[in-house]
Amino acid sequence: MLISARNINHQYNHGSGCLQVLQGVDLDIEEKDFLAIMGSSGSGKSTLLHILGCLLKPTSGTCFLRGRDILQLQEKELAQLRAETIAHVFQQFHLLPTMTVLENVLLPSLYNSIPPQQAEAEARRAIQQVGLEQRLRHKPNELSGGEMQRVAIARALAVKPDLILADEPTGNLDQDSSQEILTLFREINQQGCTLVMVTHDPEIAGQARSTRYLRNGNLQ
Amino acid sequence: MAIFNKPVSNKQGYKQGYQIRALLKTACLSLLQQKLRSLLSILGIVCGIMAVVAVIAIGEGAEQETMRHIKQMGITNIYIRADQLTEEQQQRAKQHHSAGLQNSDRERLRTNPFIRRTAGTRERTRNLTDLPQGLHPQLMECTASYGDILGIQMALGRFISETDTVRHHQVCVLGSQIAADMGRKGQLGQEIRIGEQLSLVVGILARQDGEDGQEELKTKQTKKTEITKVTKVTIQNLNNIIFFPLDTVAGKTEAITTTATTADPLTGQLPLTEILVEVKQADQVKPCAALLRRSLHKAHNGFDDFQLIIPLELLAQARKIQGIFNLVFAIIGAITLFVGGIGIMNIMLANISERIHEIGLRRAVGARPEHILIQFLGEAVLLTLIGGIIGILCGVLLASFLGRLTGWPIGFSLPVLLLPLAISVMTGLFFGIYPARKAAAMDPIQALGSPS
Repeated sequence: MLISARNINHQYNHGSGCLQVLQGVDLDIEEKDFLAIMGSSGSGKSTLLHILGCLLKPTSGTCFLRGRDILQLQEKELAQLRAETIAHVFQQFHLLPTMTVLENVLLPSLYNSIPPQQAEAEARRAIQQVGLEQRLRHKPNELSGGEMQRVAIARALAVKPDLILADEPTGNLDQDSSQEILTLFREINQQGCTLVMVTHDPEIAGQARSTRYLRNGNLQ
Repeated sequence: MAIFNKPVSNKQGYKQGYQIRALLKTACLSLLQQKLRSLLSILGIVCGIMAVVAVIAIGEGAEQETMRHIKQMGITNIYIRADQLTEEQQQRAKQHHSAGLQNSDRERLRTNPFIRRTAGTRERTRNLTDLPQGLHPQLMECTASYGDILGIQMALGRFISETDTVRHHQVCVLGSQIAADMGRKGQLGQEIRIGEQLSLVVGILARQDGEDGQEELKTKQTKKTEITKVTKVTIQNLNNIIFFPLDTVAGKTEAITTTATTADPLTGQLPLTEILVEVKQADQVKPCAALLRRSLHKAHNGFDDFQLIIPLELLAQARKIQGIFNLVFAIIGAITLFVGGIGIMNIMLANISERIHEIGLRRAVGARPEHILIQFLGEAVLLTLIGGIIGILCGVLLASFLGRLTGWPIGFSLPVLLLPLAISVMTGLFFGIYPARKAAAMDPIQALGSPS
């Protein structure tokens, strides 16, 4: 078991009151799984993903990553988990516009413990894996949307994470590019990396190994 | 891919160098991305530092010049200088039976235990008759000790000696400039005619440092009457003087001193222009000066036709004035830099809100708040450092230009160049810390999700 989350509750406090997004979510993620979490917009699926990605602490609950409660960790240890163990892929890609493809993929190596030379070798390997070895020196604005998302995936792969969290990774892409990304995800999953993907599109979710639905703050 | 055997800390030395290089590159790129904006934002710093450098350099030059003058005058020396009297004052001097500064005044000082030695000089305005046209050397009678007290160096021959003054030898010593100007006539063994009298050239001075012409130093000296009056202290340009032994002038009545045209009715001697007193120790200068003033006041029957010039006091005054100048200047510089610093803060805040996604992303891929803090603080410091370097270059140019335009001496020392650099870095740190802290404190999810 890679992740075992129990009774996760989360509420956002607004000036006018509070919004309960997650209500007692239990979630187990097996090693080497490829899980799709579905739900309508505003159902809290991104919030759940942020909690799993150590970017957000829920109001209450426990979340064990290989038996270690990540909700009890200090910011420094959480940062290390984000730098080495858990990687994110975002809907808006979030590449730095002033940096080249290679530099973008190398960005996490600033904050993890991989030696610089090894980090560069890993980055090149990851870029090759997503099929962009011809675009190493290009800037993001010279790439198509699908290519940008592949760079973002390479950035995630370069740290050799145990878990990749993808938040609507195909939300900004056309049909063909979406399919490319999903093929890539399946390939990565077959190589032993656990993937959790959030989507509202049943067709996309159908390509995962398993699917869960988030409704009214509960997983079904 | 086990997670728990990975080291907790990533602070290995090699990694830090790598991080610094990468962050520096990011900072440079982001500044270059907005060239015009970066340039405009550092303009305040550039102006501030430029002003700081230029004024420090000019102030330093002035101070060096003042110090050089005063040290040339001698820290342990006291100059007793005869006042130039108006006709009315001369009448009063007669009533008081004061004959001005006399050699007898000097003789009396010899018994003072604080004093090592004394010298007397008498300036003369009568020109030589056989000099080439256009040469106007200063003529000065002096005792042998004058050369010793001022530490005069000889290029050739000797200075006026004790024997010259006692035996009234008809000799003279030339300053280096006048010797050179006189050409063949200005060599050892030549004779120079003054009035009806020939004087043998026995020595030529080594060249003294300092510019040509008479150098004047304006200082304020408080007199006993508590009235502050500006006194002109003239430092002799030794290069343009012809020295004679004291009291060896032919036709004493022809000689005109700056003090009075009349001789002492008792001794028939002309008054001296200046008595130079060398005190044994610097800390004895002040009490000694007070003593001299009292005894001269008494000897001149209560008529103060002289003034005391004390280089040590001038030095203290010069330092005090310099201190005020520096303070005023520091305030102006601080205000300019404050304004410049606010510009930096402004631009960093704009930078951060534009790069909010970058901050969120860096946090998501493992950056700790400290990393973000260091990154943006580093960018602010880089900005001010560049501004500081440009400012220093401009300041040096400005000071050199002003120096050439006005003839002011300009002093550049290492502190003049390093202090503004340190100030600019500190400005960057001071005004960069708030935006950097703001960036570091951002919630990564909000940063990532904010509308672009």
